[in-house]
Amino acid sequence: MNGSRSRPPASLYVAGPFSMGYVDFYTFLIPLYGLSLGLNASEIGILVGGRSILALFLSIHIGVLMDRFGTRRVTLFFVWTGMALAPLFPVVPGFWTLLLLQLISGAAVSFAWSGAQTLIAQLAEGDAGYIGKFSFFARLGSTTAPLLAGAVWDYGGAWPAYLLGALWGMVLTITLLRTPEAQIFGPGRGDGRGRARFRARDALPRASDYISSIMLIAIPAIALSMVVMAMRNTTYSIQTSVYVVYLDRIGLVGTMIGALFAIVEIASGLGSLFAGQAMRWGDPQRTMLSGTVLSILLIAATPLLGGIFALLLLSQALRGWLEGVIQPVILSVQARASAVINRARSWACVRLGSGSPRLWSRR
Amino acid sequence: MGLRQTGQRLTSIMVPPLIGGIADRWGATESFVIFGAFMLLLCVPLALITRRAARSASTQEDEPTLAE
Repeated sequence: MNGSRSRPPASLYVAGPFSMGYVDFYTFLIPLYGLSLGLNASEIGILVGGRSILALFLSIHIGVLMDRFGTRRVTLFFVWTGMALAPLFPVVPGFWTLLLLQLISGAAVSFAWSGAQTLIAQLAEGDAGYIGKFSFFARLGSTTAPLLAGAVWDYGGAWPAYLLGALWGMVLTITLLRTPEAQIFGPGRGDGRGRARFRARDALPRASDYISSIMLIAIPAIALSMVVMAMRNTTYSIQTSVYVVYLDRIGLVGTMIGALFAIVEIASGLGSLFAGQAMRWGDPQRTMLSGTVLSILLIAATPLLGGIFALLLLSQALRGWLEGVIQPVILSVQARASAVINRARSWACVRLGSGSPRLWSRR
Repeated sequence: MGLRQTGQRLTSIMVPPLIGGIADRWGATESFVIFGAFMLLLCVPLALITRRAARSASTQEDEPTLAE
C-alpha cells in the first residue's frame, strides 16, 4: 500500500447527514404518531424503546453480514427496508402492529446508519480527519431531520411525514450508489484473491468476545464511565418519549418540538469543541459526573419552565452543550483506562513467562 | 465500544416504557420530577465512588511505582 490514504468520495459525506438523519427522522415521528392515535405514555415509551430491541441482538450478525457481502450492499438493503416500511406506518393504527413495524423499521434504519459509519471508516482507512468531517456532516442530518419532520407533520400529518421518510431513504440510496464499495470487498483486490471465504461459525457470536468485554466492567474507571454514559443516554431516552408527550400536551406543534430537538444537536456540536479544555478542568471523572448531574437536572426541570418556548430552547441548548462536552471526556476516560489495563496485562504476561501477548488478546 | 453500545441500547429500550408508565400513573409533569429524583439519587453513590477512586489514585502516586 502506498503512503497516502485514499480520499473518500464526496457522495459519502452527503450520505452522512442522510444516514444519521434517517434514524432521527423516524425516532422523532413515532411519539407524534402515537399521540395522534390516542396511545398513552407507556405505549409510546414501548414504541420508542422497541426500535432498539432487534438492533441490540442482531448487531453482531449484521456486522458479520457486512464483512461477508460488502458494507455498502448490506447498508443499501437496510435503507430499502426502511423505505418500504415507511408508508405502512400511517395504515397500521393498532398498537401491536405498530410495535412490530417499529421493531423492524427501527432496526433497519439503525443498521443503515451503522453501515454508513462502517463504510466511511473503511474508505477513509481509519483516518480521523475524514471520519471527523463525516461526523460533522452527519450532525447536519440530525439537526435538520426533526425540524423538517415536525414541519411536514404540522402541515400534513402522518402520510406526508412518512412519505418524506421514504424520500429521505431514496436520496440516501442515490448517495450510497455513487459511493464505491470498500476496497476489501471490491473486485479490484490487489492480491488477486476473492473475498475471504465465509465460514458458518463466523456468523455465531463468540462467547469469549462477550466475556472479555464484560470483564472490562471490573475496571472502576470503565464501570463508572459506563454508568455515566447510560445516565447520559437516559436523558435522550426521556427526550424522545415523555418529553414529546409533555410538549404536545402543553400545546407545542411539531415544528416547535423539532426545533427543540435540533437545538440540542447544534449545541452538542459546539460543546464538543470544549471537550479538550474540559479534560483540564480537574479530575475528568468528576467533570463527567457533574456534567451528567446538571444534564439530568435540566431535563427534570422541564415542567418548571412553564411551557415558555424561549426557556425550553435555552434549557435544551444548555443540556446539548453539556452533553457535547461530556461525551468526549467519557470516551477519553474509558480509552485511558483500557490502555492502562492493556499495559498492565502485557507486563503480567512477560513477568509470568508466558511470553505470549495473545493470552490477553480479545479475539 | 460493543460494551458501551450494548449499555446504551439497554437504556434506550428500558427507559422510555418506564418513564411512560410513571407518566400514566402519576402524570407527565410529575414523571420528570420522579425520574429526575431517582437519577440524582443514583448519582450519589457514583460521586462517592469517584471521590474514593481519586483518593486512592493520589495515594498510589505517593507509593513507589513498578518502573522505579
